[in-house]
Amino acid sequence: MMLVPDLEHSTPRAGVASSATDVLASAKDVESGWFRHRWDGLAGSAGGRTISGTGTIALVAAVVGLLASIWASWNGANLYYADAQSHLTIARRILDSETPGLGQLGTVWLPVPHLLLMPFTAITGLWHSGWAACIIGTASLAVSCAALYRIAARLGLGRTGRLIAVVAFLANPSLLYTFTTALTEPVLIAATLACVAGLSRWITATRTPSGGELAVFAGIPALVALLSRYEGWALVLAGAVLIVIVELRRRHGLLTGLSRAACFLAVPGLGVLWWVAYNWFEFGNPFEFVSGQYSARAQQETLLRNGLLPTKGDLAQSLSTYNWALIETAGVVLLVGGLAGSVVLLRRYRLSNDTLIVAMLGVSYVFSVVSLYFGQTAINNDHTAPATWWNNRFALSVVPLLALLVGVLADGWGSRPARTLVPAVVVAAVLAQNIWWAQDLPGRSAIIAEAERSHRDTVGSVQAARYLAEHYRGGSVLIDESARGNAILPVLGLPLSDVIIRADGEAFIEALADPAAHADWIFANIAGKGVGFDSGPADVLTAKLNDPVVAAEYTLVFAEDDHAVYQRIGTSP
Amino acid sequence: MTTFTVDPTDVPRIPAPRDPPNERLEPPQASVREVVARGWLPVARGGDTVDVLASRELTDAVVDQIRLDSDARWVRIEQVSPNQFDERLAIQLREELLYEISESLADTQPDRSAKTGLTRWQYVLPIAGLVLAVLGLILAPEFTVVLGLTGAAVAFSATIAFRVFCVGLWPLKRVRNRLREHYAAYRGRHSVDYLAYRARHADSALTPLADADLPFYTILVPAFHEANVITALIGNLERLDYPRDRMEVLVLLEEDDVDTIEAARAAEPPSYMRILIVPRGQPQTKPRACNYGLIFARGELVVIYDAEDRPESDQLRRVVTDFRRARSAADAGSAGAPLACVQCSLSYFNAPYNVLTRLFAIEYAYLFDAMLPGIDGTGIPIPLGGTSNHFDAAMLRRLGGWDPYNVTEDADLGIRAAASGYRVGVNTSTTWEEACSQTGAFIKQRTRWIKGYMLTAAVNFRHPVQFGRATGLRGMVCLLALILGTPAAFLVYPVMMLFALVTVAGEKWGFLSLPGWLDTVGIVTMIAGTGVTILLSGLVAVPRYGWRIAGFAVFFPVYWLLHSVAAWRAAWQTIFTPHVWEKTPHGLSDDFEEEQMVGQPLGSVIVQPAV
Repeated sequence: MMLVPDLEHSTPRAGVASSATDVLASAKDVESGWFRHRWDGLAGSAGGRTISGTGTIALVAAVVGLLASIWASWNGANLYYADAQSHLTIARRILDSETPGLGQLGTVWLPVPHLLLMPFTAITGLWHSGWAACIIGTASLAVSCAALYRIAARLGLGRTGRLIAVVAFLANPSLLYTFTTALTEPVLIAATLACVAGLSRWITATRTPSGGELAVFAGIPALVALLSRYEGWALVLAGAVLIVIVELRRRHGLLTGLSRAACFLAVPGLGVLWWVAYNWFEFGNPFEFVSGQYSARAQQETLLRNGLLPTKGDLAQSLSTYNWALIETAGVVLLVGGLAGSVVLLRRYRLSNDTLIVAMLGVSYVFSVVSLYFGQTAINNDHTAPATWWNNRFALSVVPLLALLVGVLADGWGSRPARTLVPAVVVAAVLAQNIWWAQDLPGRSAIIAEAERSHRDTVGSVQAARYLAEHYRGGSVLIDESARGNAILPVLGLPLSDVIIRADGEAFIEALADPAAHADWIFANIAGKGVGFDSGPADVLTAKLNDPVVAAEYTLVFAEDDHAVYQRIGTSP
Repeated sequence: MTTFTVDPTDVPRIPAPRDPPNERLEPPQASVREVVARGWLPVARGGDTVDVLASRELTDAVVDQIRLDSDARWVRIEQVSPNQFDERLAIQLREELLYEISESLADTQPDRSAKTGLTRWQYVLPIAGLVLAVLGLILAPEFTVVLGLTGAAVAFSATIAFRVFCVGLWPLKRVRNRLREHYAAYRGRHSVDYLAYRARHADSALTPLADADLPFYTILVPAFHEANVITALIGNLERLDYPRDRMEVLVLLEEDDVDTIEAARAAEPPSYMRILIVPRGQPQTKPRACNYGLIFARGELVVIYDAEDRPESDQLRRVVTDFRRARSAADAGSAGAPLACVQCSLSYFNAPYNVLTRLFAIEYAYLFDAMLPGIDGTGIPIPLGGTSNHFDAAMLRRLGGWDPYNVTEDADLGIRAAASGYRVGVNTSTTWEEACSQTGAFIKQRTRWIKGYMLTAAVNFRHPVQFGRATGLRGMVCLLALILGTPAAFLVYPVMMLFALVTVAGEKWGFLSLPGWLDTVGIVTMIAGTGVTILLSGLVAVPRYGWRIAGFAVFFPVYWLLHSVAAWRAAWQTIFTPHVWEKTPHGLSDDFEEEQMVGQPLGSVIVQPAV
């Protein structure tokens, strides 16, 4: 039996007009102030293209994101992650390098986050401080919350359910911190939520929107997700399957379903074509991103050789690893609330299209576990071997699902007293969870723990970079940026056209052959071979500096921990 | 008598004369239009009596003249209403009417008719160009690519530059007019006699006209296979604020379109609305139907609306003011060209329906809210839009009406008006239309429009010097940049993209080496041209439709690809089937209005977007 949503409790969708109430509510709106108007808007109908309250939610989320950015940039935490600095550098290099151009996007990561960062990293101050990423992160947070709110509204949740979903999403320091960095998760989460919001509109609309609208409102966000992280590829495939299922349920036939799915796939499909063509043109191999020197596969092969992929072929270990990552990023409250919410969801909607919409947000969970199982990715936390912090942020992409389920839980719980009590309990639990986190953030949040560890590991390189920035008097700087601790180019803050790095290709090889002829400065990790599984390759310049001929041309001007700065003899001090 | 045979199974019955004449009369010496205007027609001759049909009281002098002309002793007058007169005349003079609406322009002004299509050299030129391009690519690929890219960049830039220039004129003109007003007011306030100044500058044309002073208005509504919108048509025109005894609506239906005719009759139109059945004939086009309507039009002013159009209620009054103002200026000795037509703005009530309608709406906001107002008054000919063109009926008749062989008779007429020394004005009063919401139908519609532009360009380039003399430099600019430039840009667009790909691949893999400046020019042209168009279109569309729709301007590059498909179809059709009219279906987004009504309190449904 299909359960019908409690319409009295929930906000009506299109076609369920309560005209008299609406008219009275509208009249009240006029009389009340701005805040009241916004508050009332949060309970608005979700039938049309616009859903009142979306702007309000986006604005509030942007303010929260801005506050988080101010906090993170004030203590420099937004640059703790080495990967975050690398992303900023790649974005900057598109416009500022010896060989500017899209070729600088490389194939290590998917390109969209860098393209989004590019206009902001072009401004040296925003690049150097990491605020370029804060801007993108804040925008991503606003988009994410607005989309989550819209999905909740499309599901028929009332104001309470919608707001609690957003609060459950926002009230997470790990997530807020990540949205202040240049890591790729913020863009992925925003794009995923926007895509599902677009699909939910297409599924729940009174008049089925056209294929073009599907392509714009779901296909374009899907493209952004697809070219941000590989979770996006799973999202696109799941979206296409969802469309076919919905069309079959509407009795529109398989052909219509496939043609609608094709509309949805057209935009991400073009994105894939472009990416393959880019790889072909720039690197001579259309699948460089899959099999190239810097691809994830190459990285995983190294890890495998070192016995550092324990999840490969072990489903229990994969589930355990990912679930602990989830617990230590999303928090127990969100997880328990989400599980309870899933029970309410199934009780309320059974396996209807609404349930499938929610399930779309769970695709990244499946994708991540499968990736771990096949050894395509690695996550480490205090419940893995070795016990360290690595890549736990991958679990963040499941937070929207849990937040939405918590919203469903708060919205759809049986009797009237429970309807008041459950939201209150949820809010109190979220608050308690945050208080607990706040007492020891680095000790209780896997993401912030990893950031702290990365920060500790790079104290020397950061100090060396600051020294070099302070004492730089012109000339080229030679850095092997892929070596451990060397992703400090934003901290260094020098124009990248003055810095020769591995990404410069031939220029780097030439400079490496004869450093003195090309560089007045050398920045190097002098620790020798990298030791940790996540410590990156050894610095090729260190080996070069061991050559007495080369060493004779330079003088060591600064050293801290493993990092040193050399200046060519004969240049002005 | 002219025989009239119809198959009763598939066409409506047209009332026959009650007393069939027993002797065929020769066609009248006067033209059909003159017969309608004079209101009488000899219909039969029996012995020494001639039967005359009259829609008005005939004076003795007229009766004497009839008797003299027909060499009859008796004149038997059958007094009928104007409508009955028109119906009888349609039967009696069917052949003359068919000639008048289909062939008259082609016979009297063959150089201005698209009947003969392209001239020989117009066929040869593009084919020769294509052959040369292929030969060039084989024999000297680099030179040919450089030449092609340069030519495409120049053509693309010129078209964009012209459009940007026109749009740029619009705010400048607004500022200029505002400054003039302020300056005049300043001068006036500081003059000795302010009241005298006010009296001097009072614009009598702006004074609201009393109903009795309004001219008689004819509204032509051609419809074909549009039974579904007939009821809506009546409702839409009912909203017009214009005295009913000063207007008539002529609904022009094709003789073989039984469904629409039945729907129109079933809708019981009000007394000021008449259904005219356009006799079957070729080419079966909208301009041909309009010519038919023009013959029977009694209005001093004539306007065309499509069946689904929703003109703003005060549109007719505002246009009357424009014509009055133009007449006042002419009376005051202004040397400007006489105002033959006023084009009103076209906007789309179903703009939010889907992506296509959004883009359509933005495109037209750009055209009607910025570009045409920018061109207005510059002397550059204005190609008319499909509907809401308000004509001075007498001038329109002098122009020869619409070309039934041109599939964009509107654009053609605008250019013909300029070439004949008339002027087209612009009024910002809006007519809300239905944007085509289906890709297939859209491509067919645009194929027709682009084909029409090609034909219009071809017709006017038959004698380019003559056209240039008549319209001056501005006319040539319009013909080149707008009428010819629009199809050319859409034809070139995918070619440019292909060229760009070939160039990138060629340079990457070393089989092509192009000068650096060409790369820069190509990239700048594409990015700047596209970017400027997107930006301006979006900005112009914001006040009309809001940012939610205006933001879709970023999809113009994809939208232009649809135009390119249409342009290549149009090029094919221009050569092989120049007169085929691909009808645009209406009512494709009927469910849009139903959707708008969901959840709205009764009486609060807003169909048209707020302006």
